[in-house]
Amino acid sequence: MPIDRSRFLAQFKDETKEHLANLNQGILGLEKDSANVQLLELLMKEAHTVKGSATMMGFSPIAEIAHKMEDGFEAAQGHGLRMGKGDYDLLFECLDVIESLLEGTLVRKARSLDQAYVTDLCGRLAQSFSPDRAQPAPPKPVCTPVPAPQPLVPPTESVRPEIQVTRPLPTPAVPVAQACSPSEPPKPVQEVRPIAAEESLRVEVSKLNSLMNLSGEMLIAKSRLNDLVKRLTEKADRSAQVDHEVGDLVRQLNAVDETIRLIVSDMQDRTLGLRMVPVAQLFQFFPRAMRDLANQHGKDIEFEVKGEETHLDKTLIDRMKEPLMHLLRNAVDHGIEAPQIRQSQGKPARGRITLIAYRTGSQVVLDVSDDGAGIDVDKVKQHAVHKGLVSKTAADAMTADQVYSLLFTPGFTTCEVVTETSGRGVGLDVVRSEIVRLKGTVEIESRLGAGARFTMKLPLTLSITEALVIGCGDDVFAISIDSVKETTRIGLEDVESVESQEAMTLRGEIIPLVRIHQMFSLPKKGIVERRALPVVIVQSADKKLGLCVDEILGHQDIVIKPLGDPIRRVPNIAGGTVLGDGRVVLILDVPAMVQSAGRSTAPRVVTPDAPAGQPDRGGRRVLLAEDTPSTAMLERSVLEAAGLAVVHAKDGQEALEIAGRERFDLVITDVLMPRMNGFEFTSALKRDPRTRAVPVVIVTTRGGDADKQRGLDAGADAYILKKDFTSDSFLDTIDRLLT
Amino acid sequence: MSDKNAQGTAVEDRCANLSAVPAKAGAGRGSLLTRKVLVFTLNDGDYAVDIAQAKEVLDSPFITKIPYVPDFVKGAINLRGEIISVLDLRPFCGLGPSKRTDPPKVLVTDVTGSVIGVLADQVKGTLEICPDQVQDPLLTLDGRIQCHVKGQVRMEDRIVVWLDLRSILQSEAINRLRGTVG
Repeated sequence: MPIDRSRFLAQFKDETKEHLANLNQGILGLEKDSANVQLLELLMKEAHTVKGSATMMGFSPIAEIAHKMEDGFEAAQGHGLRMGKGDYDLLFECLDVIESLLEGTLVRKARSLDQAYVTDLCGRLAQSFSPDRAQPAPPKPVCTPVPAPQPLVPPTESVRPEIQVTRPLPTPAVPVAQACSPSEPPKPVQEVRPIAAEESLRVEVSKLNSLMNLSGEMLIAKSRLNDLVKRLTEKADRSAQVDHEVGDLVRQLNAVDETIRLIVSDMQDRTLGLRMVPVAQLFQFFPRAMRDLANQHGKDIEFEVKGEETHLDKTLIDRMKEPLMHLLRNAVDHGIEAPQIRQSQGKPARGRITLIAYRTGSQVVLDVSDDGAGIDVDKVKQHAVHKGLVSKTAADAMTADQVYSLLFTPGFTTCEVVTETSGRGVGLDVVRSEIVRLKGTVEIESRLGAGARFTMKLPLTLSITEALVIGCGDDVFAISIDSVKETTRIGLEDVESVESQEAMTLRGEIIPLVRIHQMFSLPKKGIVERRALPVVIVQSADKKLGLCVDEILGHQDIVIKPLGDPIRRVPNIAGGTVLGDGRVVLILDVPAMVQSAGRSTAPRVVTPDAPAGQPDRGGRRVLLAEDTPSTAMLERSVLEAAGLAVVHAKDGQEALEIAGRERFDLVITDVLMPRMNGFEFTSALKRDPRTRAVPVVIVTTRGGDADKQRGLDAGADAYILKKDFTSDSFLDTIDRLLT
Repeated sequence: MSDKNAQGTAVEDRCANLSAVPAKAGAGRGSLLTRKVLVFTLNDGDYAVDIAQAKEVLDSPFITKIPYVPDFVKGAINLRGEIISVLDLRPFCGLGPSKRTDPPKVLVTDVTGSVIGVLADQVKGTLEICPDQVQDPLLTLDGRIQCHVKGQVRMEDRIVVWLDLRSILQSEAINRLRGTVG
């Protein structure tokens, strides 16, 4: 009965590719440890499986090749066959051919020729692995003879290479594997784990993306719900005639809202986690490619990969393949010198290229380093001048970092001869632009003669981030929290003018200032010139920038969304998001803003660090009662910046307990809090003789007279709106109350 | 028996309906080839777009301003979680800026394949127009905008300018925006 196999074709292809990947990894491992019995077992099984499924699916050429490979592994395992470099080359060739056959893209298009090629390959395989062969098969011819694979030099922690003393090298002339002689001491068994995990499920990326989108929508809806519940609660709280039932319902609604908030957050995290896959998926291609590249260029290279289990968003992984490949190619082609040159410099003939992946906070770092020639700063300068990219005087004045940046200029290449792999000058700028597009950064470090390192930092996910929300006049903007170093306030008198650019000094560092409303030509808020300006210090790469805003409104998770057609790119804007109240808010593009805000790096000036014009509030203690963590953080930082010591309570009850135990100069409380609200808390404080004298400020979002009255009835000494928290009037009020 | 009668009546009714001429505003011979349009106002003038080109109408949504864009880009709004741009058609209709103070309505369209919003002062409702009511646009209309106008509809008391929304949204000015901004 004829079976329609086409339905299973996609599945078969995917599975076979996985097996090929495992075989690839296994053969690489075998090269380093040819007597590894476990490895050979594994390879045999993989080849056997490929043979079986290929037969089922009617791919007989693939089955033939897999069969011969299986024979080879078996011979090595059972009959003492020692594999040499030629054998490994042959095995890799098999993998390539199987892959081509799988895709139907073998070089020779005509089927009869395909078959001939495969038959020939199988013949060579049979010959290689026949039990009675005299010696290992000759390797594929290379440009220069390459020393046989060495036992691994024990890995060191530091990536900065120092001159190492290694074992004496064998004479490189004979291209036959000699390291695999039986007299070698037994090597540690190398475990090779197949890439595909046992308990897993294949899911199309498009399905994941839909889920991700829904998850993002849910986040927005959740924010809106939170916002509405809060407003409803406020209204119910204030209304004297709220009947018991309604009050009860509102309380329940709050509880459910809180539950939803927690669940949605959790779901968010887990959904994001779905798209995170180990970088091993990406890295698995590299060892083989590096091996081939090294052969091609006649270099002896040890390629080390660390941190493969680091997880990264799938999209990022896909897009990082090319940039990483390019950097690795560069390292092989231009970084590592030829063995003789290295030896003449007292370096080991074998160069080392290391690829590391690790996570820091909200970023993933990919690091490519080598112990090769390093970047010749003078040569780069010369070349840039020669190409007219920069004037001689400018070049002379450049720091090393600025010179490295030159490498990223389109069309730049220092190679006189364009090699096949690199040197075309199209590479590094494409690398950088791709990384910038992924909202990441790339940094270069180098020491002439010792090596170079390229460090790429990428955000963990592309679409959801924590953001600081700032107000400028009536407009609201969001800034990704990753870019924010700190927030502070400065007096007008702290604004200096450095080379026709406004700037401020922070702990001895001069930071250029940008006024947001000026940058976007927005109307300024209010007529009164403020005495003190809130400033958000942001950073991109090594440069800082101070953004002058009107208020800092809070921080929250946001979903980054593109602006709609026909708007594609807006200068200084990275995208948009929808806040809890349903408004669209633009997200500032910090890297772009930092870059355009004056390129000259001002010299560091050391000045005593004294905030200008602030009254001495040192040592005064404030009790802050606020249930929303992000708001509490912000209020705390404002108060601390003003020189006050802050103790934070999560609700009225806790605040009351703390107030009973410790002494405070001032109490600042929110109105809406669980367990005990601000009014009740204030009343309680004023009733207690121990705390009666402490001034109380009530902070809230509603400014109606009814609220104010209620606050005053409870005994509050002052009433302030949340949005004025960063304003001068607030600090004036505090000063007044503290005296 | 009565069933047959009822059935017969139903059939007759149906025939009557099919052959009936649909009521239209304005004079003109009857014709079955009417088009339904949505009528809205801009600066006190009446404009119309094919009903198929208008997905929905939003009532004064909050429009976030976007910097560094041409005047005809009013800003961005939130449409059930998606951010869409809102454009002002006035420059494309040869009109000056809006003189109204009350918040505008936004017509949402997806003729170009992407969802875009378009400002309207007021939305008046739908209208059936038949081909013989449609005249060529007035010669006094600016040449730049003539290409976006399907015609003028002569009504009893006014003229409604029938716009081709797709043409406007794919015009050169807007395509330039898609290509590069800043």
